[in-house]
Parts: sequence; C-alpha cells; structure tokens
Amino acid sequence: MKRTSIRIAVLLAIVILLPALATAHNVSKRDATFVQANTGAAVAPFLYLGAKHMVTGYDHLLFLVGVIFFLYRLKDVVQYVSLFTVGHSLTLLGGVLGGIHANSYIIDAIIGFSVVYKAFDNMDGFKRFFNFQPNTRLAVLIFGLFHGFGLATKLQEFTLAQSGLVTNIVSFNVGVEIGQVLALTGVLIGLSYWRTRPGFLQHAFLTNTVLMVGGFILVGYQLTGYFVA
Amino acid sequence: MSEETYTVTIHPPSKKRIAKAAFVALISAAALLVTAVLPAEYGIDPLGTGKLLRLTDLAKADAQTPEKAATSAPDSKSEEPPATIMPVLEPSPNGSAPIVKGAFIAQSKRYKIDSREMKLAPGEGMEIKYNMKKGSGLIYSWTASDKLLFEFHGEPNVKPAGKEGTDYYETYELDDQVGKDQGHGTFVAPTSGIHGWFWENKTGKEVNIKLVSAGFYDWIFQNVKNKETALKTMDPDIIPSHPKVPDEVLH
Repeated sequence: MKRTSIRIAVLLAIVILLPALATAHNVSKRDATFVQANTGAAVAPFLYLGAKHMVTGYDHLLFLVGVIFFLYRLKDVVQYVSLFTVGHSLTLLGGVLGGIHANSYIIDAIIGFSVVYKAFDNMDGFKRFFNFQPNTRLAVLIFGLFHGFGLATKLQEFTLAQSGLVTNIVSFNVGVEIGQVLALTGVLIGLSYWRTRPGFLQHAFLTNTVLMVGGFILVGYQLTGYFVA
Repeated sequence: MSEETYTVTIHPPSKKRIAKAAFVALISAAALLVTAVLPAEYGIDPLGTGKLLRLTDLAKADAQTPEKAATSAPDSKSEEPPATIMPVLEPSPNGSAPIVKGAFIAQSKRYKIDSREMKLAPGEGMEIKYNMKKGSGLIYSWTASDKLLFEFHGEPNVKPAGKEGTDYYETYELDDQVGKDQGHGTFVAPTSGIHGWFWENKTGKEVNIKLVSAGFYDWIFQNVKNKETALKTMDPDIIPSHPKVPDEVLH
C-alpha cells in the first residue's frame, strides 16, 4: 500500500515538473517576434500565448498546487482559484495599461516566495509557530496580485503596438484563465486520485516540503538572475 | 482550509517537525540551486558540478533553442530566393532581342517605404534595422548634419554553426574612424534577418539624421540605449500621385 502512494507521489511530481523541464518560462523568442511585429487586435494568438504561458509557467502552477492541496470541495477550489484570478487579472491589466514597470526578477522571486509561504501554511506552520492563522483567502488574493505583475512584466518586455492593445491584453488574460483551468484540471485529477489512497495524509507533509524546496529554488534562481543578468 | 485538514490528520505536525522540514527544504533548495540550476541556467558553476554533469552546456544550448525555433518558422526557409543578382545572357531562340535570365528577384507582396528623422545627442548611438528575407531588396539614403561613425550590418535569423545563441552579425560597410554624413545604396539581403545601421555621434554637438528607404521589409527594428522597439512601415500609397505638371515630350 505504502509503495503505491509513493509511486503516485512520484508520478504527480513528474506531471507537475515536466512542463518546467520541457520549456523555458519566458515567452519564447519566436512568440516575441510575433508580439512585436503585431499591430492591431489579434484575439486568437494572444489567447494562445496566455494559455501557453500558464500551462508552462511552473511557478504559477506550483503555487496553485499548494493552494488547492487541502481543498476537498469543488466549491472551495472554485472560490480560491477565483480569488487568485481576480488578483492577477487586476495587476496584469493595470500593470500593462497603466505602464507600471516592475522588475521581473524581483516579481518572480516574490512568486517563488508565495510557493514557500503556501507550503509552510499547508504544514500548519503559522498556527504552530505564531499561534495565528493568516487569512488564507486574503493571502491567495494578495499573491494573485504579484502573479499578475509577473504576467504583466512578461508582456512588457516587448513593445506592444498601441492599436488593439486592450483587446490583446484582455485576450492574453482570458488565455491565462483557460490555461489555468486546463492545468488545474490535470492537477485536481491527480490529487483526487491520490486522496483516495491511504498514503495521502502520510505523504502530504513530505509533498509540501518538496513544494517548499521548489519555492526556495525559484527564489534563489530569480534573485541570482536579478544580480547577474 | 487547514481547519478541515486537521480533523482528519492522524499526527498533527509538531513545531520541531515543521522547523526541520523547512530547514531541510532550504538546504536542499540551496544545494540544488548551486549544483544544478545556476550552472544550467546562468552558467554559474561555483563547485564545478555543472561542468562535471555537463549542465553548463545547457546554459549555452538554452539560448540556441529559440533560434532553432525561429528557423522552423515558415517565412524564413520555405522559399529560398537567390541572395544575389546574377544575370545570365542567353541568345534569343528566334533572332529577336537576347534574353537576360536572373536579372531580378520577384516578390509576392508590394514593397514598403520608410522615412524618419532622428536626433543623436553627443556620444549617443542608435540602430535602425529592416526585417528582410534573403534576396529582398532595399533602396536607401541617409543624410546627417555632421559626420557619424557607422556600421552597416545584418543579423541573420539563422546563425552559422557554432555561433548559435550569440549576437552574431555580419558587416557590410564599416567606418568607425572618420565617419560619413551620408550613405546611399541598393542592398540585397544576403540572409533572412534584420539588416541596417548603427550610427554613433562622436561630435560634440547634436546631429540630425534623416533616413529614407523603400524595400521589401515587414517591420523596422530600432535600438536606442538598449530599448528595442519594432517600428511600423508605411505603405507606398501614401506617396502623392503624379503631380499635374506638363511632361516633357521625348523625341
């Protein structure tokens, strides 16, 4: 029995990490050429780019795995993911349209930190150490704001044509949501299956430790980038 | 969410266990970062593990991948027009005018035009490049109010073997000693990529520069102080129609 759950844990880890290994996180150079040369509204391409960014954006995915890890009811999943969506939509639209330029390495480091935070939260660290449970919904919303800034900086690395700007950013944002739903569906299927196994709770702590490792790696990776790139 | 969790958890984690896990997570992350992630992503290899595991090759290869992706884009390789004009004179089969083959490179779309006036502050440099496919033509004139050092050059989309992922470029004309205040010419792109000029103002005062061109390009690349911008082209239709002046009659 125990062996099965370990196998599932490994499988889940592979499913989560595979896109990270296979693709680079930034909008690829070929996509970048399109974004720059594009003028006017182009709904479908920006939808696709947004969805692609989300499905292959392992930092956003790690955070969402942490968020839905202990959510058993679909109602809760929908509620938390909606809060995350509201948060990152606000800053994605506001950041690009308002011309707010944040440093992408710093933002990505904060996104990495959000993974560490959520893993610590899932370990019940706040209750144990500070005798206090920060509002989990508020945390998802606030970190959602940072994730949105991260998405915005990815688009701002290119000069976007002014014509059709709003349409294109909204398309990108809708694409992000589509990608998020696609990725979450996969994660939820994996988690739901795993939860039916007796090993889930035994390995939940270990999994969140692994999640925390992932978060720390992201923080170190981005901070190094900030100093060397 | 945690409220739900701990009604079912058998052993709630102790303070010590959480601290241990967080510490282990931090140490493992640091170890993985230093031994694998930094060598593979940035080529930073403090312990030499990157070289040992050949991860540092990834740092170089990573930069190559987008280039390779770019070459698979349909526009760059599907049709390969000749890069140079090489006319061949063939005798006429029926005794009329001789035939010259390969005197032009046909295009499927109308050409674009560009006209822009720019200012270069003392010590400032600027780059304007046209995105052109191999074999596409460009007619250009640039004139400046004073001498500018310049390099007319191109960056092929497909870099030669061994130069993948680098800022590889090819020089067409270079004057980095005296400089010129104008350049005019006909250019046929030897590769698909971006082709154009880097100008630098080494005089003590501001220099105005005017660039006009017509050619088969889709967008214009501008680089000022490392700010890269894709500029728009103009359609030849904006040129006014032939003015109503009497034409000279040729005898």
